Amino acid sequence: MRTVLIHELISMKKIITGFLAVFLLFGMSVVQEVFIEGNVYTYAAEKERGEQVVNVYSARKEYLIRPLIKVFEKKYNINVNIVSGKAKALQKRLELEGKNTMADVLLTVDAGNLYRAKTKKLTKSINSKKLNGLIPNNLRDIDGHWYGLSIRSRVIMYNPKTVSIRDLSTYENLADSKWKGKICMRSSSNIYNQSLLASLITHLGEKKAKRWAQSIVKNFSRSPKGNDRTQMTSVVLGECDLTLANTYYLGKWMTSKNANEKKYSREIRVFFPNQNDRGAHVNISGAAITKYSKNTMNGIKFIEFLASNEAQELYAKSNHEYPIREDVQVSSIVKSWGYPFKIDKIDLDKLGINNAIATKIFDQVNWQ
Amino acid sequence: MTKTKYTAIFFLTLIMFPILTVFSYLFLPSTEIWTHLVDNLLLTYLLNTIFIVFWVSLFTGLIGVTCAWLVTIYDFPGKDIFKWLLVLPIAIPAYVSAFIYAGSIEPSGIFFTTMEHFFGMGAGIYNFIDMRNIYGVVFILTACLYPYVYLLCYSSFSQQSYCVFEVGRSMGLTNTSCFLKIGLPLARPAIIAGLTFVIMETLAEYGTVDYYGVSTFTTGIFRAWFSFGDENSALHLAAILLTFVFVVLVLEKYSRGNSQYVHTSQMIRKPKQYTLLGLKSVFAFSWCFLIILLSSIIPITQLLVWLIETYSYVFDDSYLQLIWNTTWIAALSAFLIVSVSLYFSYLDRSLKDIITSFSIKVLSLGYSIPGVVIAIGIMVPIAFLDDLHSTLTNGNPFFYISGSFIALILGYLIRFSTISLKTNESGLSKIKTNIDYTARAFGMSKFSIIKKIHVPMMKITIITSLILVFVDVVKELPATLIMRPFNFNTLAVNIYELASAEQLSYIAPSALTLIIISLIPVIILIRNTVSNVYK
Repeated sequence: MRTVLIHELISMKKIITGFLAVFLLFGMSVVQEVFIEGNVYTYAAEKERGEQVVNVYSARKEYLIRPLIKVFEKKYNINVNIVSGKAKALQKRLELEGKNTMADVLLTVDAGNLYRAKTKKLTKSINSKKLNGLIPNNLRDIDGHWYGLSIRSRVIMYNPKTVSIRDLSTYENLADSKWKGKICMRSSSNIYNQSLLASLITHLGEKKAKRWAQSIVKNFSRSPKGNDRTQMTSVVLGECDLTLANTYYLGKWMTSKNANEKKYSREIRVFFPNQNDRGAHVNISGAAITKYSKNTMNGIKFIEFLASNEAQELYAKSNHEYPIREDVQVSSIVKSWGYPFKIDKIDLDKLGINNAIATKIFDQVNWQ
Repeated sequence: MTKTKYTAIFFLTLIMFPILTVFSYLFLPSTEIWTHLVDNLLLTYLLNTIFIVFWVSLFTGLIGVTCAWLVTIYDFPGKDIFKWLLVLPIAIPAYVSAFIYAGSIEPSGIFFTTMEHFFGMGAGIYNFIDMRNIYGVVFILTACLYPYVYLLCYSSFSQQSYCVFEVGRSMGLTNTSCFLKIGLPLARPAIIAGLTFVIMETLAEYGTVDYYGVSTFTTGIFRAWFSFGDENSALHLAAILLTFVFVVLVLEKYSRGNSQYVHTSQMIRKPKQYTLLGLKSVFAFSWCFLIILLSSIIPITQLLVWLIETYSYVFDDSYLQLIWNTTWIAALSAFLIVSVSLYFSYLDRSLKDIITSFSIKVLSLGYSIPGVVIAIGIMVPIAFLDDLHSTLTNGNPFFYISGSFIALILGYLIRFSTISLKTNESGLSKIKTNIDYTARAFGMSKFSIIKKIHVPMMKITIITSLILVFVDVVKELPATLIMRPFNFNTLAVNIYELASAEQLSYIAPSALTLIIISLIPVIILIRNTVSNVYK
């Protein structure tokens, strides 16, 4: 009775047969999915079919760029494959995949992320003449590694019932003790605030930027919570008087199907700070060709398309952002907040360079 | 013997590789970022994590045990419906519940709108209730995780032999003391198993804590990794988290010691149900109703209201594709995961050596590893394999594993085999090795032992594992998000995208569909387990 029965039953041979069966089933399902249904892309399959493709890792929401992809596919007869996700996670994936990546284009948000992709050698220089002509110098990489495609601005949003516009001026001004208990802020784990602080570090130096963050924390009406909409709601409902938020969230409220949100969009105002000096803090969404892209030409075509007149109008409008090109019209909603306004022409790389310092400062001053 | 053992160790190492990758970082020297984390954040991470784990296990334990006891032993109005509805939240992912509750008190939410409409008090409720903090996290996780304790306790209570209670009563125990002195101790393994799931799930939770802005180990890992770009510190944190879980698991096993929880009587009769009267029945009814109201009725009502607002935007072909993708990947993964873990469970049972059971313990850690950490743990070795493949074929590989379904399913395997392993463990424990020996003594062949004894006795266990894994894969978000192939979206991914674009009301169609897809198998599960107990 020494031997345990089950062990005899599962002999070596059976283990192997079992595993083979499992893998066979698995293999079959993959083959079916990939080759028969054809809705999933592999490198080899594409080469066999001789199709033109471009593979995109996108930190922009898929539903926002899907309409553009449809137009592009029709116009150029190039299939676009896409994986969407969080900016930094996608970048990590690209990094880990190394030279075996299938991605051709990295569509991402925040200049800091574009900068990091470049310094980690995940992108390559394309220097498209067309893109260089269309996109202003300060909104693209000097070496042609990445190109901005839309602009978002982080501005002051305030409650006109409690705040007089004369009291508002700059980001720095928000550190003033007159705002004690009157400011709502989003958590510092959010990239928008990190980039804003990174810009302040660039303009004011690390010491002053830290003092600024410290004073803002002292002016909090409550500890940081929620997303940009939460901050705006708090302003309208009197939990605080003002906040910093990206303008397009107000656009979403204005076009909302929900009666309350629509109503509140009329009870909050936008103020572009620092108009008398360096301008309001902006950030971009942008695109780059991956270093190991296997369809570089198609990738460039895709980015060039996204910078074209047609795409720019759609691209910016679908999310109430600002187009990257000054010659493209903004939507009437975006115009209603004041356009054009003075933009902070900081070297956008700085947002990436100073990101780690900004995050550390937030931790030190206990901006949650 | 040895051959089997080596094969086993080979496969186990293969699967444990990602987990070992994480552990290996414990021994790397610390960085400047790590010093920063230790100075400023580590204590917060630790305290918040302990706070959440403590309260969530206390509440889920309390709710799970009391509800299960009430609906099995007593008869009161609505009991037969409650019995079912109490399981419902198992189909609602915690992050979805978190989105819904946060949204419900915002301007587009039901609470806000109702208060505003009838009393003009929208602002009041918005300022009064604050979900986005550590208490909110405890609330959401409790509401979504208590069914694990409830389910296991339910089946434990209903399988407890009626005789033990009769004996208890004949010794003069009241119903309450019967519960405390007999029911509860006998259900101990079920409660512990349920709580272990709850704790592991809580530790790995990212969606809810991130959305509610609470810093825990999981969000710390993200911050170190993505904000500071420091893998080293991130995996340091992950390794500390895992060591913690490992200690808990070992302690749990140790504390059980040699006590056995086996009913000597095979006469499992349906316990006599005591009808509750008056205030007692009101109390029982209210307690169960409150739990169901908070965990299911409110979230689902909110989703239905949002659905009315937004359904016209969402239903198209890509929506059907989402449903199909979600279903087939979950079904295939469940099948594979359960096969693999059955193999390991049987191996453990027959080999009974330390290395195998230790490796299986390590594999069981998977459930408490945040999805993203698993993803990275897998992508590193896979990138190496791809490189090798590419070199061998002169840069013309047939296909890459990374970014394929193989990688994704491997991720699910590591994350979710725990569930299947645990279920198998309890299923197999009922088939005493004596039974095998006896059958052999009576001259049954090995094959017929499997066919006539193991298959029928393990059937429910296997179905249970399949369903639990299926449901968990349907709900899984972080690993899917980072590892999925091109053009492959699931309902969970869709919900995440819309919620992170701050378009909460648009999640309704996908969220409701996801709930329905995971609910169907759960209903099958309950029908099978619950109704089979007394046959």
